[in-house]
Amino acid sequence: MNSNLSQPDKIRIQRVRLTFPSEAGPVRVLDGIDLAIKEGEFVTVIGPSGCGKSTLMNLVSKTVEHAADQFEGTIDIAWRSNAAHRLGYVLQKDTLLPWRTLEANVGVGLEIMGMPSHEREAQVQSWIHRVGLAGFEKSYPFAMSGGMRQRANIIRTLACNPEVVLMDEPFGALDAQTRMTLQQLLIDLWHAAKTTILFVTHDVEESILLGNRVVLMSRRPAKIHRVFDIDIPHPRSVIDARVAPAFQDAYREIWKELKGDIELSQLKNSAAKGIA
Amino acid sequence: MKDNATIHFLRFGVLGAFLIGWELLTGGWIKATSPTALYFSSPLKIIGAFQHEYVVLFTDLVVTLVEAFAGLVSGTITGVLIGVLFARYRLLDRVFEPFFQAVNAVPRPALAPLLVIWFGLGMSSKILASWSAVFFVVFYNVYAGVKAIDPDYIRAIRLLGASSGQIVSIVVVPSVVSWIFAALRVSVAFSLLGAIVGEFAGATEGLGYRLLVSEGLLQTDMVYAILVLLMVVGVTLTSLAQRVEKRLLRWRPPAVSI
Repeated sequence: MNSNLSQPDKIRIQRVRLTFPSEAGPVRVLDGIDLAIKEGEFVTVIGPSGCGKSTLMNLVSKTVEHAADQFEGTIDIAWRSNAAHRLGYVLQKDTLLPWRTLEANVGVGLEIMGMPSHEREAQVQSWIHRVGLAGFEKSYPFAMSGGMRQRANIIRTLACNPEVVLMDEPFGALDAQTRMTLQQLLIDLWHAAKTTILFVTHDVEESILLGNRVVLMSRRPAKIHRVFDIDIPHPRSVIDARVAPAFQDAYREIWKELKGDIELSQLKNSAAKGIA
Repeated sequence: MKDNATIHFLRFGVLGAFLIGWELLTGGWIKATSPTALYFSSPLKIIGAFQHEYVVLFTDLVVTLVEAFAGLVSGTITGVLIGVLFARYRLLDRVFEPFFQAVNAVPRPALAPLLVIWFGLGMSSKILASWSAVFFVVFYNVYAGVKAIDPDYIRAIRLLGASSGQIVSIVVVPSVVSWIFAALRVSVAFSLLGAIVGEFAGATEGLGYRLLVSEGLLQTDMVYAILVLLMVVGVTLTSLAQRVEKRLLRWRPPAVSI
């Protein structure tokens, strides 16, 4: 089933531990994370709120520096040597520039790469068409809905053709219907391009619908609790996949594991409040 | 709600009634020889002043506009440079902030005599007066603008691979430009004010100078003519600035427009 088992690892996370200093002493956030992601894999990461999912993403993207005594382990990404653009990072909050039109926003990454404007225009047009934003090329972000903005935000990153895409709850702020549309869109885009995607979410359904594998993290200090292979063939449909037996099995299993952790961490929180 | 045409019609009605009333009161009931004529002039007399003195008025207008424009441009450029510098370098900001506030607290008309002592009766003292009025408006706007740049934009653009130079051209410059234009209407009005105030303090030409001379000669008609001219210029320039602002800041949600 998994055709890329023979492929080399694209992202290799080994024995990663991270400790944050705090007033009450050092807090261990990540406690020995090991994860290998193959080229072209779509991996979703799920876990209780505040378990350090986003922290892990920041580490992989190397956007946050940590002191040597706080960070242990290694994170390696096997970049292709000729890639123009390596890493794309999409966050929950879209960061479209408000003074640029939709098309200028979508093209900004290509502009940074130095693509000549006639080439850029053609690419931007095709991306805008693919995600159903045609007709809004000249619109400014303030006049667009949250779903439209997040579409633009995602294709702005994908247009650069990054080797690895990190997504941190990109659909977290959207309503259920918009979210479903964008999930389907992302599945189709991934199926067409087979980019390596690491996708963080707190939504169990979303993690199963999108991921080839679902990585379940434990509460803090976080380890990888379990990894689930999701045996739903691609190209998936968000509607049909929901009723697939594999979806339901995974859903039940993940919730079983997650429930214990969530209850435990909530107990811990209320106990801590009781003491204070 | 009345439609726009009705509103315009009513506005012209108000203006017409005002002008006719003024003319009737001063031309008909108040004798031209009576001392009250000195205070109120009349619409027809003001038109007469324009007819007789249009060469003088036009020359003075050009002088004042040149001064104001030079003040606007120099005030904007220096305001932007120093505003960006202060927003970027905390030390500068913290050291100089009280001095800037103190200087800005001095009413500009009070500063004008000193500028005339320093730079004489020519245009340069007026340009400087105009500059001093514009500079602080732009400075504070740009300062606030640079401080308000969302760090998430910078982070996102950097993640797309931008160099420091590209971050400046893609994020910082457009933000600053938008703040300059948000301040444009105020700075245009202030540039004119600075020029006139400078001319009051001592000049040999310009509308402010002409106003003082006419006052000294008790040429009330001329005083009114100059005021009308200033009013027209002021309205024209600020509505022009508003138009430029609207065009360039059309990406802002309408609710935020100032």
